[in-house]
Amino acid sequence: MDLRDSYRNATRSIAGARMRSFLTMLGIIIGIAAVILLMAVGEGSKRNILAQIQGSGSGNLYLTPGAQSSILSGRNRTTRDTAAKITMADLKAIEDRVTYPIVVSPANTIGITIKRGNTTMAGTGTFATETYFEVNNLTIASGRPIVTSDVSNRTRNVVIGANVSSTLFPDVSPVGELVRINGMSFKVVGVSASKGQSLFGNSDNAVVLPLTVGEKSFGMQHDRISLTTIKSVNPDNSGAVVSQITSILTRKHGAADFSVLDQKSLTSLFSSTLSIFTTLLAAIGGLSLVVGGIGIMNIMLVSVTERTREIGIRKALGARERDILAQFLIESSLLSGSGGIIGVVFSVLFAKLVIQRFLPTYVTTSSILLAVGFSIAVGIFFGVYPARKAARLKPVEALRYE
Amino acid sequence: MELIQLADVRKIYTIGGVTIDALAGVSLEIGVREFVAIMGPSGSGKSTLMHILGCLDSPTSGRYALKGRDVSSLRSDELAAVRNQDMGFVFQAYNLLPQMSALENVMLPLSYATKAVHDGRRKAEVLLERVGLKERMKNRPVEMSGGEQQRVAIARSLMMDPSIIMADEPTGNLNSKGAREIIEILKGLHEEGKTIIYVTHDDNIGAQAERVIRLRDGLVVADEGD
Repeated sequence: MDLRDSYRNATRSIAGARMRSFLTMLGIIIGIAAVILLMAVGEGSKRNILAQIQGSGSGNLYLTPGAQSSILSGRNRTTRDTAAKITMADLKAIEDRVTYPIVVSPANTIGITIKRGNTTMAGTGTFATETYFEVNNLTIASGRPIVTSDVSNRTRNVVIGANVSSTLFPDVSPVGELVRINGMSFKVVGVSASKGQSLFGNSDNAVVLPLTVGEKSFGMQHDRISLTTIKSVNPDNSGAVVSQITSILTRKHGAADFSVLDQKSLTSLFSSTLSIFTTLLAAIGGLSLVVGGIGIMNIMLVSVTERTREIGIRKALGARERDILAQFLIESSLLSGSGGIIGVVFSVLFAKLVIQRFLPTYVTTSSILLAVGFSIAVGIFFGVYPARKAARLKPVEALRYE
Repeated sequence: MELIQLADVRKIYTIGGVTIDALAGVSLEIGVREFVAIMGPSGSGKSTLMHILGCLDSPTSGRYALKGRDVSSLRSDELAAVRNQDMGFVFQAYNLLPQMSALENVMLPLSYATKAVHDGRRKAEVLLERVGLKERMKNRPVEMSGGEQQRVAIARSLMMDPSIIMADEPTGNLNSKGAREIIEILKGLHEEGKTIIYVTHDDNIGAQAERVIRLRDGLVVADEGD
């Protein structure tokens, strides 16, 4: 039987039971939509985060205490790592001995509450030095940044983010006003320009305070820097700077109890983690596709029973087992394949028109090809059993079937 | 050489632990261009015999030679090829596919042909014209009378130019006028050189044949020519 005949036969029998075919396809449509939409959200978040890493300033290196990827887990895992620390003396050694021009910006961050009058908001407090603004590309919208004398004099001055400013000072200019941070009074000296979400939080909801104030007033441990950002003035040198810092600190500490990540290794670290996340989402979507496949199997079994007589007639006219097998497999894969295509069209539109408004989404070509291919594979896989059942019917028994 | 040779063919069914000898040892020969009616009361095994002759079923034991070739032990795909090339079937219930037009039904055996057929569509049209359905080619079975449907089935049975036409109660669902028309067509085919074998329980229809084989309880009890 040639392929065009088979295809026409299959479309005719699908069209013959329109409602049933549609409901069967719906299982595949939903499954495919789940795969594509979940992958789109996964891929969208991945691209979003990677873009934030790119936007965090090329040539920036991140130095944290504790070996390997404590920057991702947020805490040090082992007791030995808990003992590991980066001190101001370490940073001084780095500044002195690295042979390329660099800018070093130590920072510690805690959650805080900021209050003015009766208005209170939660935010993050970043305790840093005057280099913080340059290294993080943070510009000052009004007033001035934290300066060297603020740090050395432990002055209770603060630079507030754009959202903090608009929340606490809706009516007046904040510069020169007082706010209470965790109950202590601080003077606002500047407001930073809005920058939005970045890799290490949202600077719009943050305030920047002198590094030395943290130790004095917020109970931070003496001389421990949790995150140091080091900017290589010429980004091309960042690889060489990483190896110099590594050798300086390893010699000084006697062990590699710290980690230095440049943008490239940070990108690959996040990229691989987020790919696992996307794969996991696709697998969850894949589950519903399997359920859709079982629906196809169910309907094909019904179809084989209903068409027992037709199978008998075809066999009497000379159809071989493989002809009947092909007929039912073409029908089931056509059902699942067209369900797959409808699912792709629907989910691409849904992703672009609806989900895009709430979540970063990105539909990749590979996810579309994967989904359509997988849907056809589901049709064949779940069609095999009913098709074999049909193919193996004895002609005389099939003809006798009422 | 005989066209069909059966030697001690048995067909035994086991249903719910009870064995039934549908055919209890049938031996017979049918030559080329014979016109044979198989008759007998219901349960005599005449349909089982027709199914075995038509390669729709295999005997439990015994030998069936078709054109000198032993077909009793062929694989299912080989039997399918035999049905496609050597047999044309006409059934009591017509057995047309309801979703297809008359023309498509007649062309259906082409889908499973193992040898090429030149201009199958034209051939199907000629066959339908021959059985008097020139104007009904595009109609579906539900739009046709029983007699018309059976004529479509006969046209279909001729599509691959088989040497044998097998008809299982071909007039069973028809009124006497329709039945007469079908028998006349079968007679015409016989005169053209086809071997015709049909099953019937109707003595008047059976009397139209040149040879009548009577079965009872799975055995041949009479075999008489005109």
